[in-house]
Formats: sequence, structure tokens, C-alpha cells
Amino acid sequence: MRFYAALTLAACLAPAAAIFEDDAYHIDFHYALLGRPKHEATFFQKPYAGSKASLLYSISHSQTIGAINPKDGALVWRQHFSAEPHVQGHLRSGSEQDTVISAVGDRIAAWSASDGRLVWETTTPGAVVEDLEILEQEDGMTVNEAKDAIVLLSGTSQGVKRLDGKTGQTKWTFEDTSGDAPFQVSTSPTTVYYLSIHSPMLGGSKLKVTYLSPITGKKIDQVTLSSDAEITARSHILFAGANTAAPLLAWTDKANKVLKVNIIGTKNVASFNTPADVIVENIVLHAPNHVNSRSHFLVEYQTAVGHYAEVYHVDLKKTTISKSYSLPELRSKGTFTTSTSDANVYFTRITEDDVTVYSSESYGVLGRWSLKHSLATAGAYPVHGASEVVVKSGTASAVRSAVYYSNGQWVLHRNDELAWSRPEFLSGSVSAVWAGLPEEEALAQALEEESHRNLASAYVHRLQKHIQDLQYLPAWLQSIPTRLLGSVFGKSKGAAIDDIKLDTFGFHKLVVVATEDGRLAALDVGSRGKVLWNVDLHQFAPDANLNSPSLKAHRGYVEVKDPSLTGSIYINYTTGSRASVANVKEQVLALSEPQKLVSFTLVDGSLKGFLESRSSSEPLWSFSPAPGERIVAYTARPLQDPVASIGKVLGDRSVLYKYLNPNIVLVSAVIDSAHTAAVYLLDSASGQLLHTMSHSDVDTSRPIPSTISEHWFSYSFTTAATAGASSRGYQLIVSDLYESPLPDDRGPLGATSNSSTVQPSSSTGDVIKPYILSQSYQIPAEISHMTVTQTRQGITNRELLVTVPSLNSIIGIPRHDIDPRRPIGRDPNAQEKEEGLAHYTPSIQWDPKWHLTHKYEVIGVKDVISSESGIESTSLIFAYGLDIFGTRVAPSFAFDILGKGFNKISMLITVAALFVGVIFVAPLVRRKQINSLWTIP
Amino acid sequence: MLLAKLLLLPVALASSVTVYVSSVSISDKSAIIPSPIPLAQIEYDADQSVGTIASYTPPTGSYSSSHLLRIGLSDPKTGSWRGIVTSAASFEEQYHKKFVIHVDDKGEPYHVGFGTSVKGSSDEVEVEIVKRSPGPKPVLNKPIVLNAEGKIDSKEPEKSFLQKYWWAIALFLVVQLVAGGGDGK
Repeated sequence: MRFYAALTLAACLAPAAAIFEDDAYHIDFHYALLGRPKHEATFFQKPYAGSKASLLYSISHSQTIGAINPKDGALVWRQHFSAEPHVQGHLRSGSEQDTVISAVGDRIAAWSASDGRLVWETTTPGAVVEDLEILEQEDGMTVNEAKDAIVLLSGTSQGVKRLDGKTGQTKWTFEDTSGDAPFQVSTSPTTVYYLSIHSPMLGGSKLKVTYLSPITGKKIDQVTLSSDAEITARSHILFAGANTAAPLLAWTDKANKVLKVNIIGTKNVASFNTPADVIVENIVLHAPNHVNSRSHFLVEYQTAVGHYAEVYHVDLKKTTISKSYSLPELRSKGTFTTSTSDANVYFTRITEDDVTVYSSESYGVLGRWSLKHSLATAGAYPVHGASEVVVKSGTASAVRSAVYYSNGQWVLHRNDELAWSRPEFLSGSVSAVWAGLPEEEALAQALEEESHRNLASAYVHRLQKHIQDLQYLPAWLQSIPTRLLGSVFGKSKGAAIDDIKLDTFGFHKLVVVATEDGRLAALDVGSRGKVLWNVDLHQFAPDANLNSPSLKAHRGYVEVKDPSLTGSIYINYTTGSRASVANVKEQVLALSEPQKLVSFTLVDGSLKGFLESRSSSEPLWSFSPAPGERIVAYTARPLQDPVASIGKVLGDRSVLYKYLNPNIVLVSAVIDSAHTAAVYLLDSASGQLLHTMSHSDVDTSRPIPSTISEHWFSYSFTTAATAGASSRGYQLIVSDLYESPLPDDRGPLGATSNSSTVQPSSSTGDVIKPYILSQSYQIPAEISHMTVTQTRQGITNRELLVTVPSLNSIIGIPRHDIDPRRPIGRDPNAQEKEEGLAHYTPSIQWDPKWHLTHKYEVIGVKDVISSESGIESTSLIFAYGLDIFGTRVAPSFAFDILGKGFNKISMLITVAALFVGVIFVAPLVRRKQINSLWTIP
Repeated sequence: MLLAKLLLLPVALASSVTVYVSSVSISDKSAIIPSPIPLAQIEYDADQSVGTIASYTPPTGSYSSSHLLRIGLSDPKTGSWRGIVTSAASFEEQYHKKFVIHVDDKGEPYHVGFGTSVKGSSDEVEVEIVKRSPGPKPVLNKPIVLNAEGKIDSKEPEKSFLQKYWWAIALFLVVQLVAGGGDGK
């Protein structure tokens, strides 16, 4: 009885599993990413007037606004908009302001520059913000208060708006009903310029510049620039300068032969010929963004092999543009950045090898630093950047540049050294798979080779392998003392993390991640997500447009598939290079003769199973949900899902046998008009329908995540806010599948170890149907994705891992707490208590201890994958999407590994003390025994 | 009640569905049943759990276990096929066969199932009609009902002082009467 009490106590303790304080930030890692930063919306800025240090602000192509500390690259704050991906995001900040203003889609918001809190927000329904500018000056005077924003809208209400910098309210609106394509706004101290592209029915497009009064928003004048039919789309316009004393408009012809520049506000168009002897691939114009700076600008010409530049000066009085000097061509790729200090303008040239600072006045080099070689930027070239320059008495004493490299790394160069790098390319991860470590894979391959041989040759092979392994023996023996000492006295943290070879517990596993930009990277989850390699997949398939690659792991390589790709690319995941074809062919899935593989996929709204061996289009089975229903998702049981016990032991020592079908698939379907949802449990070998459950009052626009593991499945949905529903919010449904409702009964199949859903059965009763127990719970927030932890042998309890976007966290719900056998409406009896079943409560509150992400804010999680580790108690978790997060969990505690709190020294001292004690006591005991033999009783 | 059921009976019209069978071509050889042929005509009432077989023509040929047959429904509107796969050996004489018709809330069939078990006494082919079961709902606690004063309604009104302590007063009076009797002496 005491044993049962102890068991009950242990069961009560189990839900308290949580992340320990000394484990947090050691076993887990988080890349808080922004995404690919946008060039024109990345800048250094002081968070408030009078601040000593500046922060680096940016909006990314995935609509995330963030402030980065330039010192260490840490994220200070960020705001994520889950808008449509093709929407343009804008970010601007006036000088000496304590807010930054963003515009994404129809949302315009001001954020506190130092902590990212919302200051004001306004929406323009039906319209999309095309451009955003800050009105720096008004009537030639610098505004000291909150500076107003000018926004350009397109869509249903096209026009220009001036928004109050303090409140976001509209001061005036200029409506444009001409039907021209709005392009950009630009401001000067006295005028707001609104640029649009006018496309008449006949002839080429023209650039139209409308002058607006900043005070009233009334149209003052309008000028049409004859662009000689060169501009047909906005991509031909190189630059429309903002906020300089002389805003510029530059465009070029298709062949990049002639550069045309117009000072906005005048009618003159200056044209310059680009150098004739080379083919210019791209022209980029760099101009200062500051209102008081000199009106100089730099034109960068990019060629196939290198780049060079020319600097131009604008004479404001004469309204002429003249070339000042040119910078020599370099046979390497590079970029330029512009920075200002008072009125001076500096251009910084960043190439793969060095950083050079020039003044806009003359071609003299103010400072030059050779960049140290770094792993993060190896083999990549700078794409764009932003710089801060310190110039003292004519020489640049310091420069720091935040540069986005072609390999997707965002780095900061402080003079000649690399201060930090952020792997921003990981932000668009769309697929990820687990992969084993190279050494383990090699061993597994060698052992597999033996299994195909006869006994004698396998023995010889094994012997040879062992002799070969002897060469590592001396090194291993040498490493023993250091390992022992390190283990006893605790080694430094860095060594513990980076030591990939010393992987006793199997925590070091690789994750191969594919991004929507067509990049592939491998991360070591055990070393806090260290990026091992990072390649561009386009080099293997130059004409493919890889924007939704999907991965599949095989032994030693990963298979990359993409809709735009015919066939697959095979990448060796230890090196990141292309796997050799011979290696790939070797490992085709081997099936014995009577076995057939059935694969299934979603075709035209119905799930269809096909025979894998033949390419016939004839489906084996086909499942369509009830008429009017649309399949939203389907989930299959994971391929690797070890089950430790085929039954569940109840309190009275009887057993409920689990229904363990490896082929079950859960299909969820909805009817949008009727607000109903249904889930179907299918057998994917035969297509037989095992079970259905339907729900009414479901918000069908929200996701219905689901997962299957072992003998249970779960799903979640959002209740529609209709009148009459008994409860609203979010529901989590958990179902257990058993062979029979009766304990100690194996149902119609009996003790047969093998059964088929295709072949006939001669047992009594319905063979294929499981007995299903379900329970539903009310949960506090919406779940976007769910999965289950995986361990080596499946002995450890499982945890349901749910992603909660509203909390930016990933929560691990112990399976025990959502057991469908919890008694409803009564307290558990003694036997149920022994099983650890608690009284059913309709709502589950998420215990703060369940939050695997603890203090991290993990945004934009697309998928969570779990994998076994080397030890049974622990499961490895990896989440990807916008952010990357990895951790490991031990749902039944780490019962097979010593914790960090274990004091090995005191254990050794105790053993030594006991040994000494035994040596001293042994003679005494011996004497006493001898004496007792000699005494006469 | 019975009368209402009797009246409704003609309304719940029996529906009918045809189950087709065709074979999966294993090799390049022509399939034994190349195009779907009717296997069974089933009449059912969506409110009943069993249906009746109107006609049943089992496929002929060798019932080898490696030969796969597809059993399914054909959508009359789109002509699309939906169904399952089973081994031809399922149609051997020694098994008891059962068709499962999955119907939705309106009684329309959307999927078919087929199963075999050991042959009992009856020789008939069984037909089961499976409706979708409603999913579980959270079992909510009973709400607490308050009265107009914002208090929980108690079952009985509280007894007055007299109702509660009448026996004490009576005892007191009796004692007084009894004790008072001795004064006249």
C-alpha cells in the first residue's frame, strides 16, 4: 500500500516537470531574427535626442521592424506584422526624434524608438501605403516637436496624406483621381512632391510631379517630365531622393547606357553617359538622407565582375549637376554606404576585403581598413549596408558598417574587425529535417554493409574495422585524463558547448534547414544552433526558382524537392556539397517481395492512395469528405514512433490494449458556410474510414492543427462567435484509441501479432475499428501547430507540443494532464487515483512551467519538429519559421543522466573517506571476531 | 409518440446506393475487371443502422490474395470515384461480408467500407450504415444562479424565532405553571 501511495505521489509530481533555472539559456537557443533587411529602410539613429549611442533600425522583407544594438548585435526590440508577403514595408525616422514610423499594408504606426512600444497607430482601410516620408522642415524651419509624416496611398483612395507626428491624425488629404500609378513622395523644406507614373493610351509613360503645399495639401503646380518612353515600370526608376535639400529623381534606359537625373522641382533633366567600355548590369544611386547635408550623390555601377562609382555635385543656385570625381573600378563585388556628419557627406566603400571612406568633396581616401577574414562572410560579397563614420581633422578615425552579405548574413564591421553577425537568411525557413552526426552515420553504414554478407566475411570486415579503429586509440587514451578532470571539476562552458565530437548523450544532432530564398543550412542543435554550413541551392540548379523547397533526410544526405525543380537535388549534409550520384542510388528503400508501398497525397480536394511502385495515375483508394466539405489538412502518424508497451495498465492491474495502427491518417475538413468541421480517421493502406467526429460552430477561417502519436491523436479548433454556443474560445480534443472497450480483452483480433486491413480476416467481429475515447478541453489561446515529443524507445511519457502565436511561445502539455480517461463529474476512485487520473476540469490553464520558451519570444513559428536523443529520457525540439528555436525536454524528468547539481567532488570525497574508514575499522573488527571465538560462553 | 413515428415513416424515404467494383491492374496485363461494374445495390434509411441489399453480384474469377479490388461509390454528378481497396480473397465463400456505408448528416453517402469476418449461421451480406458521431464537447460546470438581490437562492426560507424555539418557550411556560402552583399554600 505504501508503494501505491508513493506511486500516487510520483504521479502528482509529474506535471511539475519544467525547465530548471540552470538549464535555461544552456540547453536552449533562440535566434530572434528580423529577416532580410531592406536597404532604404536600414539606418543608424539615436533613440532619443541627446542619446549618446545610436541603435540600428531596420524593416525586413518579412515585415518585421527591429532595433539592433550595434555593439553586440542583440535585438533591442522588434514588432512583427503577419501581413501578406508581397506587401511593401516602410520605415522612417526624423532626426532627433524619439519615434520611428512604419507603414505596412494599410497600417501606419509610430513606435517608441528606445523600447518599441506603440505610440500611435492609424489604418487606411482599402488603401495600401506606397511610400512614407517624414516632414523634416516646415517653411524652412526645422520642426522641434514631433515631426509629421507624409504617406502616399494607392488603392481605393489614392492620394497623399499628412499625419500628425504626435497622434497620427490626418492633417490634410490630397486625393488623386487621375488614375496614374502612384510612385513616391518626396519633401523639400517648402514643398511636398508627389511623383506618379502617367501611362497614356498611346506612347510611353511619363513621370508626373505634383507640387503640394505642406501646410494645406493643396496642389500648387504640376510638371510632366518627358522621360522619352524609357520608363514603363517603376523598376526603371533608380532613385527618387528623399529629404535632401535637393531631392533627386534618376532613371536609366534599358541598356543602362544613359543616366538621367532631374532635381525635383525643376524641369531640367541632366543626362550622363555611363562608361561605354563595359556592360553595366545595375546602377545604384547613393545620396545622403539628411536635410542639412550637402547635395552630393554617388552613382555606383555594377558590372559582372566588379564595380566602380562616380560622385556628382548638385549646384542648387544654378540647378545644375556636375560630375566631381570617379572612383576606380575594382574587380570584386562591393557596395557603398552614405553617412553624414553635420553638412559633410561621406561615402564608404565596402568590398570583400576592405573598407574605405571617401569624402564627397574630393577623391582623397580618409581612411582604409583591411577586413579580417571571418567565417560568417567567407565566399560572400556585400549587398548593401549602412554606416556611421567618425571623422577627426580630415581623417576617418572610426567607421562601423552594418552590411548585408550575399550569403544572408547581416554583419557589423567595426573598423577592420567583424563585431557581430546575424544569420538573417534563416528567417524564411520553410522546411527542416533532422540529420545524424557524420561519425554515427559512417558507423551505421559500415554495420549495414555487414548485414548483407555471409558470416565469415562479415567477421573479417568487423575485425578489419576494429584494427582500423586502433589508430584512434592513442589519441583516445591521451584524452582520458583531461576528460576525467573536466568531468569532475566542471569544464568551461565554451568547451562543453562546442565539443561536437564528445557527444555521449546524443544531444548533438544536425538540423538541415531550407529557406524560401533557396538557401540550405545545417545547424548543430547541441551547440546552441551553431551554423555549420550555409549554401545557396541555386548554384546546383541555376534556372530553378526555389522558393518553397521541401526536405527529406536520408542517410548521409538530404533530398531537396521544389515545384520548380524537375527531380531532386541531393546534398551531403556533413559538408553542404552535392552528394555523389553513386552514393544516392545505393540506398533505395528495400521491400521484400510481397510487400507494396502505398503512398497518399491530396489531389483535387480528395485524398488518394497510390501504389508507389508504379507511376500509374489510377488511385488505389480515394477519400472525399462529405459533400460540401473541403479538406484543410491531414496528418499521419510519424514514421518513427516507437511504442514501449502495447497496453495501458489500469489501477486494478488489468490492461487496456492500445490500437496501434502505423497507417492511420487524420483528415480535417470544414464547411465554411455552415461553420462545421469534421475529422476523419483513415487507414492509409486500404482507405477504410475508421472513425469520424463532427463539430458545429467552428470558425473555419482559423487553423485546425492536429497530431497523431502512438495510440492517440489530438486536434484543436476555434469556436465561432455565434449566438447560442454553449462555450466560446478554443478547444483541444484528445482521443485515445483502444482495441477494445473492455480491459484484458484484445478485441476481434486477439493476440495476433500481424493483421491487414486489405486482406480478409476470419475473426469474429469488426476487425479494423478501434474503440475511441475522447475528451474536449477549453484552452486559453489559439494553437497554430502541434506535435509530440519523441524519445528513443517510447518509454518516457509524451508531451504534446503546441505553438501559441498570441503568447509567442511553445508549450509542452504533459500527455498525462489531457488523458481522455479523466473521470467526469466525480472524484477519481482509488484505482483511478493510483493511475494518477485527476478529476476532469473543462478548462486547461497553461501552467507557466509548461512554457518551453520561458523568456524567449518566439515569433512566426511555422513548424516544430522533435527527435530522439541518445538517451531515453530526453527529446530534442527544433522550431523554425521566422525565428529559430531549439531546446530539449525530459517529460518524465532526466532519469538517466546526472543533473548539473550533482557534486562529483563530494561523491569522490565520500568514497575516499569510507575507504579510509574501512582500513581503520577492519583490524578492530577482526580482533573482535577472534576474541569472540576465544571467549567461553 | 408512436403515432408521430408512424406518420413520419413515409417521410424518411429509403435511399439507395450502388457500390461498384473494379480491379487494380498489377502488371501490364489487362485487368480482370477493367472498368467499374456494379457490385451491390444497397437500400438504406439514414436513421437506421442497418441497410438491406437489393442486389449483390460478387466478382467472379480467382480469389487470389495478391489481386487487389477497388470497391467504391461513383458520384452521379461529377463521375468521380471514391472508395477503398481490398484483396480479392475477401470475396471467398468462407467469409462473412459486410458493407459499410458512411453517410453525412443529410443522409448522403460519402464513403464506403468493406470488412470480412468468420462466417456465422446466416449467409447474408450485412450492411451497416454509419453516421458521423458528434465530437466531444467540454463538459462545463453548472452555472450558479443568483436571485435579483445577487444572492444564491436558498432552498427553504429561514424559520422564525418562534418556529425555532417554541419548545423552549413551552417548556418555560410549563415550568412556570407547575412552579407557580405552590404559591397558594
